[in-house]
Amino acid sequence: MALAPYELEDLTLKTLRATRAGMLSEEFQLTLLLKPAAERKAAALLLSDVQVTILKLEALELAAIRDDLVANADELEAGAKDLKAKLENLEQVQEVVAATAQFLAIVARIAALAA
Amino acid sequence: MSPQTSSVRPRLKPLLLCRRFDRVAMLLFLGLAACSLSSCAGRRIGQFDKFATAGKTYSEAMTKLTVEAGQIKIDADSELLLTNRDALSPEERSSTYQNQTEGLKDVLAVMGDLRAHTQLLRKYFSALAALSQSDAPSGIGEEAANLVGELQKLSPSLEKATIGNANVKDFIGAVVPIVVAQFQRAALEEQLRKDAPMLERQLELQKAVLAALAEGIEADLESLSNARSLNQVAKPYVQEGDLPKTWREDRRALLSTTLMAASLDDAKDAADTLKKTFVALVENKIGPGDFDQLFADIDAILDVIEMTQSATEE
Repeated sequence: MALAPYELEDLTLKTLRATRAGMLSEEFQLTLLLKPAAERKAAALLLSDVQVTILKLEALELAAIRDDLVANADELEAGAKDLKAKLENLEQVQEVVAATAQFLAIVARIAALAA
Repeated sequence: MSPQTSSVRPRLKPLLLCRRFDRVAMLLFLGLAACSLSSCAGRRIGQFDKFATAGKTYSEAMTKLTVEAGQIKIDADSELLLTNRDALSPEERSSTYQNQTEGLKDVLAVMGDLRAHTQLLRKYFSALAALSQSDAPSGIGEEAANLVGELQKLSPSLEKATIGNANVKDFIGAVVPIVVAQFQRAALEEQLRKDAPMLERQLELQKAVLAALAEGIEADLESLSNARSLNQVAKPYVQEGDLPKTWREDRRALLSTTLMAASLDDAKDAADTLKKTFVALVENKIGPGDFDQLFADIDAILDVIEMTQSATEE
C-alpha cells in the first residue's frame, strides 16, 4: 500500500535522523579518519546536507502544526474572554447579595423605629 | 409616640411581616433545593479546578520544553559543525556554516511561534482557573451571615428555629454559598461545553506538537551525544598529541549518559491524557485516578526538561 504524504515525510525524517546519528558515530568517524582527504571532505559535505535537510523537514513539520494552531487562535482567545466575563458575573452575584443584606439592614432599622 | 410614627406603623407592620415570611421561605426553599445538589456542585467545581491547574501546568511545561528543544537543536548542530571542520576548506566551512545556521534559524522561528501559541493556551487555562478558584462563595458566605443577622433582628424566634438537626442560622449561612457554587458550576459547565470543539482541536494539535518535539529531542540528543563522544573522547585519543587532562572524566560522563526514551514516551502521553481528561470532564465521567495520571504525565514533561538540561551540560 502506498504511503500517505505525511507518512512519507515522517519516514524520510526518521531515516535522515538515523543516517545523521550513524555518520556521527565513533565507528563511522574513526574509520573515516583513515581515509583520504577527498573522501573525508565528501562525507563531511554529505553530513552537512543531511543536517540541513533534517532542519528543513522539521521546520515544515512544525510549521504545518503551527498553522493549524494559529487557525484556532481567535477561538481560543474568545474562550478566555468569555471565561473572564463569567468570572465578572460571578462577582456580580456577590454584589447582589451584599446589596440585599444592606437593604435588609435598612429595613431592620425602620422596623426597630416602628416597634 | 408621635402621631407621625403611629401613622406609619399600621402600614409598615403588615408589609414587614409579609416580607419577613417571604424572605425566610425563599431562603429555606433555596436551601433545600441547593442542598440536594451541593455535594455535586462542590465536586464538579473541584474537578474544574484540577483540570484548570493541570492545563496551566501543562502549558508552562510545554513552554519550557520548547525552549529546551531549541537549545538541544543548536548544540547538536554546533557539535556537527565541529565534527566536520577539519575535513573542509575555509570556503566549504563558510558555506556549510551558513546553510546550517539558516536551517536552524527557520526551525527556531517556528518553535518561537509554537511557544507564543502555548502562551495563549495558558491564558485560557488561567481564566478557567480564576473562575473555578473564585473565592466568591466564601465572600458571599460572610454576606449571608450578615443577612441572617438582620433577619434575626426582625424575627428573634428565627435564631432558635431548626430544620432537622440543623440550626436555621447555620443552615441559611451555608445556603447562599451553595447557590453561588451552583451558579459557578453552571457557568463553567456552559463555557466548557461551548468551548469543547475548539479545545478538543487545540489539545489534538498539542499532541502533534509534543510528539514532534519529543522525537526531535530524542534524535538531537543522540546526535549530540555521538558527536561529543567523538570530538571530546575518541578523536583526541586516536590523533597525535596530548590528551586533555579531563579525558578520563569526559569519557566516563559521556559513556554513562543514557537516553531517556521511556521518559519521552511518558511525556508524549501528557497531551493525550489532557484531551481525554477534558472529554471525561465535559461528559461528567471523570474517574478517581484520572487526574493522578494526568499530573504524572505532565511531571514526565518536567522530568524530560531536567534530564535534557543535565544531558546538555558540558
